[in-house]
Amino acid sequence: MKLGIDVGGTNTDAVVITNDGKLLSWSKHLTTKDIITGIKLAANEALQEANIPPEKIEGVFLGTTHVLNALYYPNNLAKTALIRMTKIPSLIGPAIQWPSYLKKYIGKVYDFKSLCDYKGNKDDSLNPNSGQINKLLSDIEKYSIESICIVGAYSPLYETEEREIRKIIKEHYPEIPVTMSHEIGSTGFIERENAALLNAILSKVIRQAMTDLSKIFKNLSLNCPYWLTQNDGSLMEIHEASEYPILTIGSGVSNSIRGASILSGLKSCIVVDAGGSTIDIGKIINGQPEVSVGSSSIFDIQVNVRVPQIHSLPYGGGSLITIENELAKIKETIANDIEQQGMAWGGHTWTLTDSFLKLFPDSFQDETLKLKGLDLLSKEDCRKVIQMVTKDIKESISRLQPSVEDLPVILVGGGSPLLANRLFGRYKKVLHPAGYHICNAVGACFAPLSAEIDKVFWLNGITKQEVIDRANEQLFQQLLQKGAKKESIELVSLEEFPFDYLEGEVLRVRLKALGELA
Amino acid sequence: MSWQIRKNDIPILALGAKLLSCGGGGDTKTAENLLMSIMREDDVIAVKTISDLGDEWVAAAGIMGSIVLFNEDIPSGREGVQALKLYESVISKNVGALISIEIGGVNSLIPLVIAIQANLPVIDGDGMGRAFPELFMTAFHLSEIPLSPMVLQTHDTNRVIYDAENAHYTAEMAKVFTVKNGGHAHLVGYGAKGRKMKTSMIPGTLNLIFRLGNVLKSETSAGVKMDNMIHVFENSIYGKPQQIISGVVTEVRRWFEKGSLVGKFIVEGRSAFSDQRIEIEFKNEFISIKNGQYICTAPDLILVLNEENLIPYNVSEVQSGLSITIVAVPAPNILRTKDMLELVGPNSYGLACSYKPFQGDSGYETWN
Repeated sequence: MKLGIDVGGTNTDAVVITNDGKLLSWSKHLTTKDIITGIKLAANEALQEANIPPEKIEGVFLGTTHVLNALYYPNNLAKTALIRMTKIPSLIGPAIQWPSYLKKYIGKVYDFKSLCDYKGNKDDSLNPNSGQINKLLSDIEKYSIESICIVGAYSPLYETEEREIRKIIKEHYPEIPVTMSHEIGSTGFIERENAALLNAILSKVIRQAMTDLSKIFKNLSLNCPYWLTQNDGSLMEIHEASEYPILTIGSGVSNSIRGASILSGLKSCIVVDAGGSTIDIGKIINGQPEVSVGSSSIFDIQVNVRVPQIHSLPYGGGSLITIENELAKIKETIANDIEQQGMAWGGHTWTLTDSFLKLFPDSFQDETLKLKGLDLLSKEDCRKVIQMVTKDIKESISRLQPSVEDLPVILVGGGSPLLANRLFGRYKKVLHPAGYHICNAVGACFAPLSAEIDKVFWLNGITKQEVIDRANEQLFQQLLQKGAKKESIELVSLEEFPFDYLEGEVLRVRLKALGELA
Repeated sequence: MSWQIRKNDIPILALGAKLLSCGGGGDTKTAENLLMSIMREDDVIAVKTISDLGDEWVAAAGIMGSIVLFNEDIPSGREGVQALKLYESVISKNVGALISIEIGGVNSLIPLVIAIQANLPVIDGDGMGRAFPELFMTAFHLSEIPLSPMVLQTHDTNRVIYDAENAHYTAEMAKVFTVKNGGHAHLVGYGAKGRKMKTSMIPGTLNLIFRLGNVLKSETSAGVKMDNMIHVFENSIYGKPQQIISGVVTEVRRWFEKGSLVGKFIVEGRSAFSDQRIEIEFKNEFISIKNGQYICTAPDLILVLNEENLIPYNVSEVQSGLSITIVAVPAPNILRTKDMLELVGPNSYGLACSYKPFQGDSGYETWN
């Protein structure tokens, strides 16, 4: 039996699902500021309602926007020291395009000299960094450094130098989080440095969250493995997530996309997740949520980690509406106060949800609604709002549609009843599956295990095929170790990128394999 | 009329340069970050236009080699100015202004880096008017400005190529040096007097990327941006752009062949273009548009843009499922002359067709 939990901006949902996919119970609570209390309440309630003892739960599957939110509203971020290893120090500063409220967490920058030549051969007779390493070690305490980030030029080709520096730091400070850039991203120094720095800065908030979670689950007598979904929609064990928080920032979205696929039974579809503060539109093909290719950005910071490929409309059910010059405008979001402030609930602010309820009062089965409050709104204005919202959504959907045959559209999320039957005429396939309101928590329970290799190899005396075969075998072993069913393991992508302008044959290969949890 | 570039203009120039690169030209990110690091808010780079050029010695600057390696093995940021100093000592003259060898992509920005450090003006123009894969594919070469003497500079080593017989040979030697020394190098060469450069360069291209960058950065709809972009090209030495198709990318094939990224993809038309199907071929840059027959080939410009915001894609970013708009822009006349076409026409890219100028304003025709 599985316990799925989704911590969203507005609600924390929990579900209990049997191994063959039957929903036993669900619960919903407002997300609490500390996130932990909400999880505890929701999980506890779901377990009680399902009426099963905790030892029957074989895995807890969690998705959360917590890490992403920690960047939005800086919270518990780590003061980080950056170590750069280059042949010659560069005039290019770190974090050039960053917003200043995040950049200020980069407390110290050290330029180390890389001792490797272009082929990764190291000259061991040199040791010019020892002085700087000692300085770094003494600075850690002096400047209360909480996290370290090591970025070596060429580290995707040879990682030994990043590992050596990490080892020395860990000998002196075994507890301090150390991010090595080669574990975060591939070639492209600036984007990898950005991604590694964000990872290092997030190491404090994720560790806190993971420690708290372990405590709660222990309290609930859940002694099974705990998993977190990552950007590509696959699972990570909690101890892994503590090391690579940057890989979990898209976990909420990828769960919603997978959940929609599970609830509708469709392996390929377009998903519209209508939430309180955003409406996200994404796509899943053959059971795999689409992720960005090449570089992507987080708050306009360019990074070379993959994030879910989604169109995110900057408003949701809780966004405020005004009419200016006869045009509908959507303003900031009040999100979780909608049942206090929305006019349809007797409040005084006009929200996007109110506009829909004015024209379609039967959308929600909610006894607390006081639809009389909507009398103040004009039907014509509300129609303008609805037209604008549906137009935006339809445009985003059409951009995601492959050309050959239109994919069905699945509506999920708390706001989805507002959209059901409103988007397209009867010729287009739009589904609004039961369970739409707990979609993300369900999605988390069905995420696969994954293993990925993205590395650069010198083809010295071995063929390309041998490189790929070895990498493939490595992935297979990793997935077995994580607990995948042997027969379920498959290679899902293989890409090769040769390098020009280097002596000798050099090849970057990226392989990814998936497996189902046994 | 001279004008000035400030720090805030750099991201705008970088975006415009990506548009003119036709999918090649090298990613601008590293050079952009370098400029944003070394420029202070009150720094200005003086730009000389065609009418400002006189007796000063002008040299072209850029980088060559692998952009993947350049972006990984980040430069110290001093290579360009080191190359300039070495070049000046080789020719025993002071350089009075710098010009970009290639306005499409990263090489639009390299002269700006050196200009800031050496306090020199840059020239509003370049050698290619877009991006091309080889050092000799320039209007400078066509006007018999020699590529050598040329200086190459890496992090830690350099090389001077003295009076070589021709630009092809110089380019070949430069490649050998680059491969041996980490895969990328800064270069300074194609030196000439201002009045010679004036008649040899493709004029106004620095200003063009600035205007194009401003259009792409503006907060407005794709339709308005498209109109504005067309308007900018119309007020330049380029021809009137024409939207060829909007639709979705399918069947992307991409492989490496003798150091070039080669391949093709299909665009299936949508809405106004439904039932249309276009094939795009690329080799470092986008080189042809076909619908059964050729509609447009290099050196005319083929722009592959994000349908939603018109931000350009390069050849390695194109993937199945993207919604894109394709625009063809007639190249400046200087790139369409018989001699230039031998260097940069369809045959130089291995296309089995003869060049037929793309006529933007009269609807497109196809040919074999």
